[in-house]
Amino acid sequence: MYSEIKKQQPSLSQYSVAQGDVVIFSYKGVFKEQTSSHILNWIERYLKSDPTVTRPESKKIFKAAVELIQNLIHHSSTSDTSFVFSKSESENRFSLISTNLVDTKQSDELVSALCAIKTISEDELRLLKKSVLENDHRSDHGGGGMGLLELAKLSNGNIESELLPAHHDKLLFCLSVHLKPIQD
Amino acid sequence: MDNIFIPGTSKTPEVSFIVEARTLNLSGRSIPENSIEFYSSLIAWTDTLCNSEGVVEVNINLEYFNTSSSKCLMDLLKRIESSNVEAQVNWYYEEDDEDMLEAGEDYDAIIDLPFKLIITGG
Repeated sequence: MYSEIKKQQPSLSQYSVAQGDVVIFSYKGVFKEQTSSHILNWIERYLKSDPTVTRPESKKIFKAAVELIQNLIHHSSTSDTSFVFSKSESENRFSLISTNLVDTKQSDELVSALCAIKTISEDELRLLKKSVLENDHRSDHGGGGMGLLELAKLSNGNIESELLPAHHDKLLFCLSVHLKPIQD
Repeated sequence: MDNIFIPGTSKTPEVSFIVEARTLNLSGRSIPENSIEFYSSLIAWTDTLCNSEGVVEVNINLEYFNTSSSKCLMDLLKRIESSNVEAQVNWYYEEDDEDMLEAGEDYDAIIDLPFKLIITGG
């Protein structure tokens, strides 16, 4: 099942991992429930073992990983899907990066949603999330489209995306979420 | 109507829904891939409980929950709210966990039920 699990090998998704970042964990392949469990358990163990990460920071990073990885289960079925967990010592931050294939319609929707999210304040983001939570609408997988809002909120808006040419009229959607230490 | 006891896992919460006490307890973490599947029977149980009289107590003490679980929790609380049964919601959050505190405040603002935000030691 684990078609490719690599640790400490910054070869995957180099286009998205910032220069100088150390790749802690990367996986490329099909994402299934068991894959998700394995990766999340691994990340949780890593975060517990890192003395520089406080519990609130660890919870934010873990929650962001849950949203990104579960999104990959729901929206990808090809081996072009990947997840990278990296750390920048110089900037003192963690990054979570996911890539998956999307069609043109999906890419337009994602870019539009991300542009909208990035232009609003933290308070507006919270209000928007609350309004989606209150709304009875659900996506096929139950979240009602809250995943991106949650990622933006967890990262204080440090969320970026890239669309790269792929194959079969698809684009590779790369989503990066950067989490810095919580400031007092 | 039977009580529901489900042990917690790395992705699903410990569930203890007790008919006699009219108490719904959720603790641990709620990050299943398919939250609707997990919560549907719990919501149905809650509907049945709310058809009878008596105060319902809901205790939510979660370490983590994913966005699809957040919608299911909202559904569960809305069912109680719309039943007009008397109820009390106790939302527990770890000290320093601002996200969980904010989530509790948001549910409190949306749901018209008595809501207590209770800090825990973590």
